[in-house]
Amino acid sequence: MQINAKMAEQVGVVVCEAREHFADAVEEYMRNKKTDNGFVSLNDKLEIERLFTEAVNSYIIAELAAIVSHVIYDELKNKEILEKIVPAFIDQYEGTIPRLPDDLINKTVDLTEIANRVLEAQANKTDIVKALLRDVSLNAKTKHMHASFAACALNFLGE
Amino acid sequence: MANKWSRDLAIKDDALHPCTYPGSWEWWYLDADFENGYTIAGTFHYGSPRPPANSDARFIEIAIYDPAGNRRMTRKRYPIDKCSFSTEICDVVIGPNFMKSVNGLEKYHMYMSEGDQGFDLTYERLVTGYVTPGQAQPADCYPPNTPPSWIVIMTKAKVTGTLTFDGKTMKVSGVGYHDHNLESAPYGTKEGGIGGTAYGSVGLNLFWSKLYAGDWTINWVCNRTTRRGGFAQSNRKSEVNVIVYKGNEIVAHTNNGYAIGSDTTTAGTGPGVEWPRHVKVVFDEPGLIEGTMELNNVRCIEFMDLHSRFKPFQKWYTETYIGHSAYFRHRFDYDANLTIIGQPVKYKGPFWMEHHKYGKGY
Repeated sequence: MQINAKMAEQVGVVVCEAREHFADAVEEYMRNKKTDNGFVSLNDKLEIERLFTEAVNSYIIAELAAIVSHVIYDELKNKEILEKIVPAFIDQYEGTIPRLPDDLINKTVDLTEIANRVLEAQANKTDIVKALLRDVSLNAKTKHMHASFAACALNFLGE
Repeated sequence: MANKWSRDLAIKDDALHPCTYPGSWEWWYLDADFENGYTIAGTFHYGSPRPPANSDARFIEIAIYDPAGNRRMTRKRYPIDKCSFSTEICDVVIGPNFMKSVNGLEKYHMYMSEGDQGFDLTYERLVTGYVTPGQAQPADCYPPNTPPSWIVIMTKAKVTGTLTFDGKTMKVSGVGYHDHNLESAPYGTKEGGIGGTAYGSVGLNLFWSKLYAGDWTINWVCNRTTRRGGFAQSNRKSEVNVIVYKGNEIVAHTNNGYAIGSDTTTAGTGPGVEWPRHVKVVFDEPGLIEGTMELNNVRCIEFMDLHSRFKPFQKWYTETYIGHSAYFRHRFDYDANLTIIGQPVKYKGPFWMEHHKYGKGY
């Protein structure tokens, strides 16, 4: 129950982050509009919806997946949830995105180095932590949502 | 002292509150500003107020700031068998350091000494204290999921004794303050906090200080939620607690107002952690206290990077989704333009504040 409560708070944390980036993006879009007749046109609505999707893809999908996966893992102690099942789903989803948002790429840019540093330290780590570290190390530059998922999971595991 | 804003304080309020909840903690805090320009702040800790929870931690912190801006900070942990705490009266001993009531809540002996830094001081209460109704009762166990208890024992005290800075001992006199805080879980591990990965409620900047101005004393803690503040309530209100004294009596109280920082700069390495050069404090309780205090922070005298305890992915997660939490003390010049119970209160002068930064932005 304690894990569940803490993870419920994390839902709010990532939604809050996405909300802020989305609001900033809308502000920037509106500021850069060449014409401003006071109306939100159909094109504006399409653009705002695109910005919303980018915020969700950058800050919610992988994160929510990690939060829920951690709750399930904590209950069932089935490490395949974190190592295989959900990452495979995330990969499939990421594969459907034609152009990855800059925010998603930028936030994962340091993860390879962080993971390699922890791996090189060769401290005593559980098997699941080692697997997630390798996941981050291998995927941070190509599968950004996958890396975000693994990095969030590592945080929840106290790393 | 009892009135609609605070119950009477009891001697037991400043004793240890026995609590069996894992993660519970208490600290006893004191500070003083001396006529020679030195400032001190010290804490006696029973349990860790920051994650990870550790109710067995016993440690002290001594901070001394000289007039030129030099800082000496000592933090030292002691084994449990070198510490003692009374459940009847303030009698706190951590290693060689102690805080003891000499005469009820009216007079205390405060002694802290580690290496070349320390002080030996007598606190005599000038202005009484405060406890929020409903918070911890005298020496009762405090239940979980209640607000942290803030028990102010001496809002203003006459302080005399000796101060030792870099081995040089000097006689000092000035004005001080003493409070006692306790909670059933470390900061940030309940109610809007972020579990084991950070420090406080997401998205808040909390400023705390006092205004000692003539016959008036204002003990204020103000914050303002940033855009990040509160995922459940996107328009979460400011959280404010302001207690106003005239002489030795509480004459006003409000939870309405805010403090907001601007003109930021950074402390620390790398991208650094933002802190504001200017803080505007607004009180908004018509008939009791209203008006503004403009605070120009002239020097950051304390910076604690609260991420230093985090592991690599905890740091990444917190930086990415929450922001960099830190603790500051800033010296400021203030310009207070207030109306308190219908009377104008206009003062200017120097003082300092405590600043808890829990997330991004201001």
